[in-house]
Amino acid sequence: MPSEANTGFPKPLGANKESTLEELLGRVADLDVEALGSLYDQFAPKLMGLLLRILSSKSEAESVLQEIFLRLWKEAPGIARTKGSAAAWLVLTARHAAIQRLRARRAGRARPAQMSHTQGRTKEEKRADKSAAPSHREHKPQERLSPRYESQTLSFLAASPHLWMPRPEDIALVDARLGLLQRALNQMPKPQRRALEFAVFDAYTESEIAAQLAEPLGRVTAGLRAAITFLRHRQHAVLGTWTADI
Amino acid sequence: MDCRHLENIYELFLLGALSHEDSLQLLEHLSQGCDHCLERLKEAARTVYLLSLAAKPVSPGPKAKADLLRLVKNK
Repeated sequence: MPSEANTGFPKPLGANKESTLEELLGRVADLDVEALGSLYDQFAPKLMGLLLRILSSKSEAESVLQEIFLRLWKEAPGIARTKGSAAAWLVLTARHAAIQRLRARRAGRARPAQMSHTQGRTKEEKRADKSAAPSHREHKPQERLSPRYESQTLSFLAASPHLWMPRPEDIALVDARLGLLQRALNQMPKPQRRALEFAVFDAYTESEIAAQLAEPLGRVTAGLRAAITFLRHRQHAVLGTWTADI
Repeated sequence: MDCRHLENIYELFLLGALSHEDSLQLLEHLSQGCDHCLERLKEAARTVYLLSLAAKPVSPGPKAKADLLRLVKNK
């Protein structure tokens, strides 16, 4: 099996933009507040959309958004040393911070800071939360307690970014062909897509998804793995990254 | 657990959707420094990035950026 699966990439259209991101990250590592502001301008709407989809609360989403950029400010030197994609770090770290909150909420173990944040909201903020939350959330199955809201994955992501962070040029390639890739997502069989969305945006594990869908665990795990295979193949086709062992 | 059994679970691991037992087995394998799996992990992170961007962008509140930069300057 190859260790360099992505060699021979066509030059990504967004390469210049992504190298700029890494330059900005370097400047943030040097405590450049203006560079942090530039990264915020580029990523805040994407991250806010993701956080809001997961948390269904505008005030909580903004709280996590701030938490992520404060972490970036503090951890930028270490992140820059990995030579990985700043965009991927922001998106994956934001997602995991949000699912950590969602799982804590389900477990009824919200942190004190989070509770006071919620309690301190004005009527206007609460109204904004309600109007900002995607309507499908109102009809979702009842959230239930999750005993493991801090998983091995969260610890791993926080402790070992050098192991999982994709290369900047790989993420630039995804950004350059995002429209095509999103279209591929829509081509996925609906039951598989539904199960995958439970994992991506609702922080459910395989067994929790099976419970939510009232389906046997074996069927759900097989469906999720098939969904991943489908996505991998579509990505390789769109990005032109097929290799001999696939 | 060898690489063949891991092929379709890296993404689920990064999503936090794997069972406790499967996650531990994957981490144990990764700790052995398998080059193929570490490369697949990066590919899986790219997929999670793509999946995450399926959410529609939303602008944060008008004060959010100013609040952040004020906090940073005061640190």
